[in-house]
Amino acid sequence: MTEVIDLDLPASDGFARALHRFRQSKLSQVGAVLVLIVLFFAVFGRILAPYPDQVAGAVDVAAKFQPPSAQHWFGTNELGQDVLSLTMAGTTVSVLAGFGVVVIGTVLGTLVGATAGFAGGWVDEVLMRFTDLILTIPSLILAMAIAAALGPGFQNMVLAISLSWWPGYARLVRGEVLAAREEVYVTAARALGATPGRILFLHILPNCVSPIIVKMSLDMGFAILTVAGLGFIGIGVRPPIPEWGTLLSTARNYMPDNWWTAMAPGMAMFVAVFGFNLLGDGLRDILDPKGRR
Amino acid sequence: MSEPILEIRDVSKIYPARAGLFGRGTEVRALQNFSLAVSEGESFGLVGESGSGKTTLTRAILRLEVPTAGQILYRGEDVARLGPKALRALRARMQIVFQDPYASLNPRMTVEQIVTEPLVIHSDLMPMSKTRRRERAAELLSLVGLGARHLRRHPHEFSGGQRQRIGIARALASGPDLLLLDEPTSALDVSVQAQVLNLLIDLQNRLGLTYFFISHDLAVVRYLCDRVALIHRGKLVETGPSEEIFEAPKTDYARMLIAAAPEVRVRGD
Amino acid sequence: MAALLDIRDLHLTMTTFDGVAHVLNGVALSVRRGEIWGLVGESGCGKSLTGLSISRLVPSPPANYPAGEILFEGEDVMQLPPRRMQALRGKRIGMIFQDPTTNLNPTARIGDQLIDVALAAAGHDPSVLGNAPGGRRAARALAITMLSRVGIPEPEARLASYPHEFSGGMRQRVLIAMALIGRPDLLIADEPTTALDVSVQAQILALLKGTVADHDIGVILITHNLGVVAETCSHVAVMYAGNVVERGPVAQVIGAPAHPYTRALLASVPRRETKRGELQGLPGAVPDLVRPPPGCRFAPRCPRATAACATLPKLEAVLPLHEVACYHPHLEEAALV
Repeated sequence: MTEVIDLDLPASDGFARALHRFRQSKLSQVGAVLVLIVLFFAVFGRILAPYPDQVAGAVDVAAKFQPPSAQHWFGTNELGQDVLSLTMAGTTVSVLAGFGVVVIGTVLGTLVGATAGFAGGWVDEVLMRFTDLILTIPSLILAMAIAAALGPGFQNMVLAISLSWWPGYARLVRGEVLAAREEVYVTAARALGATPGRILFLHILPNCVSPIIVKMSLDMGFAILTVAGLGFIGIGVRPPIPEWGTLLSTARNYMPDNWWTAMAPGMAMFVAVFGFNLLGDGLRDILDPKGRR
Repeated sequence: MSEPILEIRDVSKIYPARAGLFGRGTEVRALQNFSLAVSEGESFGLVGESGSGKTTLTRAILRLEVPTAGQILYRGEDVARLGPKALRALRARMQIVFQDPYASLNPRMTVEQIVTEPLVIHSDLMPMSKTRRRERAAELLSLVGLGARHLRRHPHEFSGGQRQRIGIARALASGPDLLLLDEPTSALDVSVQAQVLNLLIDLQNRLGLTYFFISHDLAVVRYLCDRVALIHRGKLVETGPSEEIFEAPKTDYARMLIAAAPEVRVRGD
Repeated sequence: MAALLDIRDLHLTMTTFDGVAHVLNGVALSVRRGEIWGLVGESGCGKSLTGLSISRLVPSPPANYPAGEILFEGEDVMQLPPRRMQALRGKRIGMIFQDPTTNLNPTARIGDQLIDVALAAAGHDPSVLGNAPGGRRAARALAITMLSRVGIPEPEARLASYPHEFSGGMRQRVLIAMALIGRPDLLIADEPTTALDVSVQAQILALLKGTVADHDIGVILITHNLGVVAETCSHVAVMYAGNVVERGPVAQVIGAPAHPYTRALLASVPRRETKRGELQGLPGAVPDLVRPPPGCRFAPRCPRATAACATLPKLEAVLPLHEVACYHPHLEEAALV
């Protein structure tokens, strides 16, 4: 056959439809805007901070504990540093750490969950009982223990939280894989003689992506909170690197008289968690498999 | 009659009883000493109601399940005894079209990926370049009455009838000689069903395929098949040429089934 | 005798991503007591939405009714306040759906579900329980009567069963019993036997016919199976893309179809005498309801279409009671019936 195969086609309208569904939900749009703001500060917070030298560690003890004013919108802390500047700069660490936790957790969890769900039998039993075991330990305490063992520092903190984070993904992915394994198109692939690897990576996993993305988005907020939590109890990133949890932890010592020191980091955390949750809910609506037929 | 392309010999499949919370369940005898033979080039219809064992038999033929007893022979070779390599080769020659065209195509793949998948999987038997595979996919699509311009689309952009054509194209890609048709038209509207049935007849005439057609719809089986077997509760009830079974059924079950099937006719005819 | 149900020029639009779809485009249907109307057509022709509209069960939005009347015993259900509509649904109009599994509560006993329905129906009309003050006891007695009427053996013992202990056919019988418990005047059955085996289907359809004869009710049987219509219904309405294109007594419509679409539909069903390869398919596809063709919606697929078809044809009688919406109907055979 020598006929020229015509492949030029109108672009699939799937994206337009998704956007349309997204537009119908006001709350998920709010979430998207909040997330965009948070991401913007994660990239540019350090540069845009009004007092960049203080972000780097400079202090101005003469100006300590100044209440919010035109010069210092969210006041200054016990070292006279501008709280707004520290919070803006702290976005980078919080978002990066949160993202790192979610990504590593997803990769580990998917690996474990997909193996368990696809292999079945005793492999499934062993992997899932181990997962359950990890789940029985409160994640913050587990992360604390791992972080304490690994020592302080950004990478160790992310790794510590990730190691307590993956079981949720393992369970989710295992369930999705078990369901997808029974799909007719998977049977079709088996009947065609496809290898197990081909079936898993081409037919099963791509159809499990949507719930994973939704969970990742919903988890981002909590991961940021957990990072801050570790910072709060002093195991996370050490000052002078600005980080929301550490900022809050220090501010706690001067409550309630100097309440403003806690305002900016607290609000930043609220906005980040709220935004990622709303966005996650919105993504769930878009990626809802019922709407995809 | 030529040598059977597919022979089922005394096949039984028993699912053992499961120990449940409230004592033991009973074992399920999905197939009991079931035998039949399909000759090359014919359309053989297997008719049964839900729970009759026809799905279990289909899965056993495809070796997605192993029978408890008995043999399934493809051109005289026991399917259950094939090594991995021979089994893969068999899967290029024996293909299946599924009932639900909405569930049987991977929603994440393009039509080109779906139709060329058998060629990729069996690239050792059918070495082809990517361009050649695309050409072959276009040929297959035009064979089933779809244009090559559909290659980059996803299944959700097609109607049920079109999806079933894509499913048929996929089944034909590796050049099989035996096609299992598992209720391929029961999820379709009658007008679309007629088109797909005619396509199947046309393909059989052109490619010399053998059909093993599984259905609960007597009218469709009668229209398409040369020979028919009735299955009920895992047992073969009656088998023979379509004309004979439908005009002069020998068993009560066959008579009951034929009488119960609604027919388009004016009462009093 | 006045019609039990009279649907006049019913229009229904749905707001979708692609725009406003004109899903029902002037549906006209009239059902009297004692009649079983088959509502047939390909999927997406609006037959289920017509059935759901009668009970006002189409969520709105996205649905919108720009025009039309649904007269139930002379009263327009489109104008009824929600409370009265609910009473109508529970008591006067019964509904049965395709999947008997999803319409029964899996965690409640069959008996309790039937009794609840009976008590609810009695709330609208105490005579359902014979005006007896017994309440629950009377409802239980009624549940047993209904189960035995739909052919369930040992109905009293079966009250304690859960839905999963019943087969598909038995569940559909329970749902029919449930739909009949309030002694409805109109029963709408949407593909009630599609999920069932043919032998069970035959039993359920016989039960439906018996119910019509015993209680003098009207039935709308929505189905895609023309064989079911031929064997069960007294009348048939053929729908295409939101219009009733042909309607009349079954013998006339099936025996001498006048609309080209009805003919095409009938020609695509394999019959006893159909030779291999001689089945007629229907080329083309159902039109896009957001941008439907002007006039007759079947025209683009119709072998008889002419310029006249650019305006919508109205239902007109080709024989008494046998009406067709077509400018070029097949009348050769109609005269012979």
